[in-house]
Amino acid sequence: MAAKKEHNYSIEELTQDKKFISWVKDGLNPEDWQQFIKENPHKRKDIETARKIINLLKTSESPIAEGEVYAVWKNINLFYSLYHKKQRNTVLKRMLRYAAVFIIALSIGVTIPYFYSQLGNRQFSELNISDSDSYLGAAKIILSDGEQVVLTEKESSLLFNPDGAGVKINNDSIVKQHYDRNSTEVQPIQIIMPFGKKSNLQLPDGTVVWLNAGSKLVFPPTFKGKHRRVYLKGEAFFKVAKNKQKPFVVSTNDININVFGTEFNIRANSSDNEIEVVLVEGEISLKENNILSLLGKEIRLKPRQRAVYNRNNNTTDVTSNVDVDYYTSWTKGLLEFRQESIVNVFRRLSRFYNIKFVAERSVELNKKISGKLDLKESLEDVLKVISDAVPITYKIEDDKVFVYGKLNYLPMRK
Amino acid sequence: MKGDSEIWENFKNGDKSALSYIYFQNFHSMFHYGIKFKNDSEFIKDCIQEVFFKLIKAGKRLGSTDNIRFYLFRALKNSILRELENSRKVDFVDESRLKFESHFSLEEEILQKEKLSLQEKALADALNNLSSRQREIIYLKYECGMEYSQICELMFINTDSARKLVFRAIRSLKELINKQINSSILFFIHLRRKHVL
Repeated sequence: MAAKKEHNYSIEELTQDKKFISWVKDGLNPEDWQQFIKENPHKRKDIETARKIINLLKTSESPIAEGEVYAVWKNINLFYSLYHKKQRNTVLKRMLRYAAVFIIALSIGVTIPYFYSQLGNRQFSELNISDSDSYLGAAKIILSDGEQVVLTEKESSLLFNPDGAGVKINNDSIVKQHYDRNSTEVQPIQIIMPFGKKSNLQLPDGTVVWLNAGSKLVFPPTFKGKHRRVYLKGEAFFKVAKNKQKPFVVSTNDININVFGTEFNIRANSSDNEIEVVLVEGEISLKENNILSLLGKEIRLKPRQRAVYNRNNNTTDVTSNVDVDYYTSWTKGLLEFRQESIVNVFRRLSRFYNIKFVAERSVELNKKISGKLDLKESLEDVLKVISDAVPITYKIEDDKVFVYGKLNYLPMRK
Repeated sequence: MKGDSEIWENFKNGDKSALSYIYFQNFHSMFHYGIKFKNDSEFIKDCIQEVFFKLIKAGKRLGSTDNIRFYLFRALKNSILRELENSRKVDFVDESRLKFESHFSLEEEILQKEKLSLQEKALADALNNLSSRQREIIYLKYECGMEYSQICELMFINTDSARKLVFRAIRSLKELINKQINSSILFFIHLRRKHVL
């Protein structure tokens, strides 16, 4: 034992001797020190002083409640589980090419208020992606006779009878509608797709429409009159049946799109400042939909052109040679992003899956990402793919996705 | 009982029970250490949480250690510095701005007492006069049982100065205990302390 040999320890040295400290503080190996005092009786007083000093150096501690210890542990435990989820490789899906398609994409920018909520000790901001037209509730058809048909499938197919007699749902059940065909005030048919649901339908004239989540399409049971006019809020892809005698017109709140027989996609959610129209093939024209529209210029689009109508200043910018696949991928259940901010990706996903995103403060929501997501996969699988690409982890709870920033490698100072 | 190195390796490999063991073995001492730098328990709990998040994230990339507590203290101190930088919106919070504020049991005890003996008062004053660095070294050495080499790594000082700082503190206490105290000596000690430190 060190103490035995070095019996000339000064008080200062004693008070810094590990074994001496552990004897004073924890009562370890007392016999060694009794022995030491026995052999060095002149040191007894020094040992007493050294003991006193060590006791004086005791730091007082304020107690901590066990509940707090467990509260922090809960978060750490959660983080551990999230982090050790097996990582999936991003599967890049090849895009299918569309033949003879044109797209009109009307995008509506959503202002995102941030709500702060506490989850454990960490601060989160909630991305509130509530459009005024975020049709919550069930997906449904409101028929001309006022009957409502609720669509339970995640994706429904609707086939409307050419003579306006009814609709065939999912190639299975047929719902007939009864209304006065000779009346001048026939109620239109409304298709309402809430977030998380989408459908493809065939209109009475044979035009095929993919109606995206969070969208509404209104059209008459049969197209009478000079035009085939439908009303859209949200996003839809149209394959317009040819009929030169009856031009197809898509109306939105701000602009009308006149279609001269082809296929197209429209995105027109209501609270954005911009309406985007992309033409794949065929010909369309855009015209403002207000009293002054008679004075307004009609803009004609050629294939692969993209028009962006600004609702604030009523101007339209046209770009040529855009990649049309990018704007139509959603109809194939793919979501493609090119240099999109994470917050936009979440916004789009919240439409498809009808969920809310709650992001931790540290998540870089404006970071730009590119990639393709297969929306036929579960939300969980899609989020896994995203979390491989960007530094986030997530947890799905009911109708909310909590997004956490992934932490960087711990920098240790030397 | 497994050694620190082994537990640490298990933790690095993602062993949940090692994580839980490390957490519950060290939370209290980390909390008590941290709270001396910023008397805000929510803040310190956040910092501790950050430390564990980062450790989990780093996993196999972490270095080895045979003293987990030391490793965690160092990580916690980094975390506190970083969080302070973030919250104060300044570029860098200097290590020297991190003041270790501990209270000795005697100081607390004396606060409760109405009448103090001259010696008690002298000792309390002597403790009260210890600098923040002296308090930190003393805390790490006497409460946490750390080696000088580790203390110095935590505090970015060299071993000699750490030893000297403790040595001085102890010597002043020793003098107070051993000598028959009168107020003039006490006064003298005070003057000297202020001069030296």
